[in-house]
Amino acid sequence: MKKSLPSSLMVLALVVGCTQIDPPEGYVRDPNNQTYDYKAVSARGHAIGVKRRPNTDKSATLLFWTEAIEHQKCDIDGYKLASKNDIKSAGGLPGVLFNFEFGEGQSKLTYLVALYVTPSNIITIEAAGPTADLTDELASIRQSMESLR
Amino acid sequence: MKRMFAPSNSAVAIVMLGTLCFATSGLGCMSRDEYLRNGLVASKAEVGSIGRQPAAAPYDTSSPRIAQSEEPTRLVSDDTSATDAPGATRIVVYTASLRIVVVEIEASIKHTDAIAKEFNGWVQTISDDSITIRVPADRYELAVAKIESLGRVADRRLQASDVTEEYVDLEARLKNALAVRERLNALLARAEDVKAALEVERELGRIGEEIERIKGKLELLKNRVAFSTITAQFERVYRTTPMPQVTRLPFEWLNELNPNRLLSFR
Repeated sequence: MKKSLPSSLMVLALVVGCTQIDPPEGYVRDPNNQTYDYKAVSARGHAIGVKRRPNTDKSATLLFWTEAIEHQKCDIDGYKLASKNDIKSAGGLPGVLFNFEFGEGQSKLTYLVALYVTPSNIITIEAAGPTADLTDELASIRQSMESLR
Repeated sequence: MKRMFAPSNSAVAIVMLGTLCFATSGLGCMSRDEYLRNGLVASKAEVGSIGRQPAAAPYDTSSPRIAQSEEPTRLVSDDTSATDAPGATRIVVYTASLRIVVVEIEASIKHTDAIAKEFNGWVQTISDDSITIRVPADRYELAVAKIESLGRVADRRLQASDVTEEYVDLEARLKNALAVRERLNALLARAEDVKAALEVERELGRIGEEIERIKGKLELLKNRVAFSTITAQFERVYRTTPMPQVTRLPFEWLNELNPNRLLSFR
């Protein structure tokens, strides 16, 4: 009972709206951020941002929003889905990590989107930067995205 | 006749020359019936025999295409005055103007070019969306059908222009001019004084030019008869049903998933 309490508290935090993450190494909070619930930037201009939105319909599951995001970014916006993996938050909430790419050559960019869904909230964690620069940070960013609590 | 042009009587020769000049210069003013009455031109039957030589060379320009008036035709003739009599032989120029809706204009123009070559014809003019080809008259209807099969025919204008009268007139003028030249040559051979010879030579020059002019017109007309003209104007097809579109979902926040928004630090 004692062991399950911290986990329960973390899931509860997600349900009520906490969107804390441990930023990737070398990232600091963006002092001017007004768009995201939390946003951090690297010294090279890469960024990671967390946003919580209300899930207006309880029947809109992780699967529904996963398909919706893939449709939006690939079919409408024209991004290439480089990979899509299941992830899990620090609180044990299942999620999906999208790795989108767009552009060519030196201007090729990587756009990562982690998606978590609860009956009342949709939490997205986005990270973006030039693909060439971001490759070395991918593991750190994924770790940060999974640190949601 | 021989006595009239006695070498000693050059004055009489000049008077005769004047008469010949009058006769040749007035050819264009005479009607075809007058020619026929005077025996100066081939009769309708003779013209028909000229036209009925397709076996040797069906699209040889020397064999204008002849249509029998009793034969039913789906083509519209713009002039029937020369073919009122049943059984009269007609010389006809066929032209077609087509407007065709196609998927690919460029490919359709290439196909039409190939059709012209297939039927031993050629491309007369070509532009971005239209092409005019000439094909042997006996391949005309087949060529039109092939071009129409390239798409949906939006407009079709087929015309059969009866040029029998024009053809007969030109032939008559040529025959008459040749006869005049022959007589002038005979006159020149008998002229003894220089003045009379110069007069005849001047008239020979004029009649020679006239003959070349008539021959040119005849060749042009024969070419128009032997090779039909088909113009195809192509239009690109417009889809009547909308293209399948990618549907945007009614969740505005999906549009907020945007790296540019994330990488904006204002």
